[in-house]
Amino acid sequence: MLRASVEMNGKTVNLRPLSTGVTDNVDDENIGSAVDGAKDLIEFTDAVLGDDDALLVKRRHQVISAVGPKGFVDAACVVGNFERMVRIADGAGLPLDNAIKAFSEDIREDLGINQYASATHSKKTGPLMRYIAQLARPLVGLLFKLKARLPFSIS
Amino acid sequence: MNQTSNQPKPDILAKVRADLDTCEVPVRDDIAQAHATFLTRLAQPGTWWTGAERVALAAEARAAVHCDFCSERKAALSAYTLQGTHTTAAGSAQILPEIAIDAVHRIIRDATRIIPRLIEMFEQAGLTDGHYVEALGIAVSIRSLDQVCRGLGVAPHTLPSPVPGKPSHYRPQGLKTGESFVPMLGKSTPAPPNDDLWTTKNSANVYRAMSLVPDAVRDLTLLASAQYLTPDQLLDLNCGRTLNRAQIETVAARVSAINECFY
Repeated sequence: MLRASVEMNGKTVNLRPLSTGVTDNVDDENIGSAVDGAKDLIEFTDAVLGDDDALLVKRRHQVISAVGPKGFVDAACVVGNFERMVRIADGAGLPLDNAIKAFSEDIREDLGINQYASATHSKKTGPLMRYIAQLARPLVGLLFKLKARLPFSIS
Repeated sequence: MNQTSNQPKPDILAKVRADLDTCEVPVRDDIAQAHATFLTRLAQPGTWWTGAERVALAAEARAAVHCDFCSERKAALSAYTLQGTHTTAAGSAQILPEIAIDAVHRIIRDATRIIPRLIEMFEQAGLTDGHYVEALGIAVSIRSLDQVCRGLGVAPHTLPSPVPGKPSHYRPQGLKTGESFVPMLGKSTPAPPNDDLWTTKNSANVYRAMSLVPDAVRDLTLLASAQYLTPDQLLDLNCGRTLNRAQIETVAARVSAINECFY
């Protein structure tokens, strides 16, 4: 979803800092240029999920400076929301939605996400579907929008 | 279905607002409304658990965060061989079956290693897959509320006093097995009275995952709509809040990565 939302705005994004949590190199070549305040948002997220309360206070102020008070509230809410979503997915043994699975095949491999224990819940995308997804990737934003408007499911 | 509360109890809403008012920046009121409505529903008899059991499950989700046995088990090679005793919330052991306590602790501390055997263990203890799904919904929702509060720098909300009554034991028609560990409704718009859960065009597996207990899906939608996006907004990649969509998804992706969640 992140990659698609960035690419829809004509930018590209390197997602590696998201999987490693290393934000030192968030510069013009990767996520820092594609997403405003990415470094502060990642570090704030890490602090909420960590156990260092003093660091969390620091990160909170950092993120308020970076994205403003309302943006900070959004960020805290999204952290809480996904702390739930990931556990639902794992707790129910949920496979990835077909469309997301096809479009994310390459980055899941690159970022090592396919090595996660819960990867076994989803079947691998077949070569034909992978090829189609690769061709259709520039149109992913449009496809999502189309999916939302159709009266039937295309995933 | 038992949970029809779409409005928070006034005293619960007042307490939640008071918690959020201690944040150093203003917190939008739809967050307070959603949290208070969830807590109002939590106190009521559910589909498979009583109000007292539901509140105890929520307390257990909090106790799991500091459970030493969970830490030891998370470090163990196998998640299902180590024996030990959980650090539990006061009174939980008198209210909840041991397997429910264990499941909630696994959901909070070691979710990536949950396997279908855990649900079989529920059934061996005389419970149902519905008990499991409802417990899952409660545990993750409290975790969600607590992490929002931690992020905002405010105290976690007080758990509500349980409302007496019996669970409905409602099981929706049209469940399908084989896609996940638990039966789920299909992708198309569910039949009434559950046609409010999702529509064919916006069904996502994460919503369907809880559909064995339709009220758990309603809780999910309630909280996600305030804390993230509504189901309809999900597929519009231009849709954001004060944070734009890419910023929102950056935070979401980082949470997933830390939790090693494939989904």
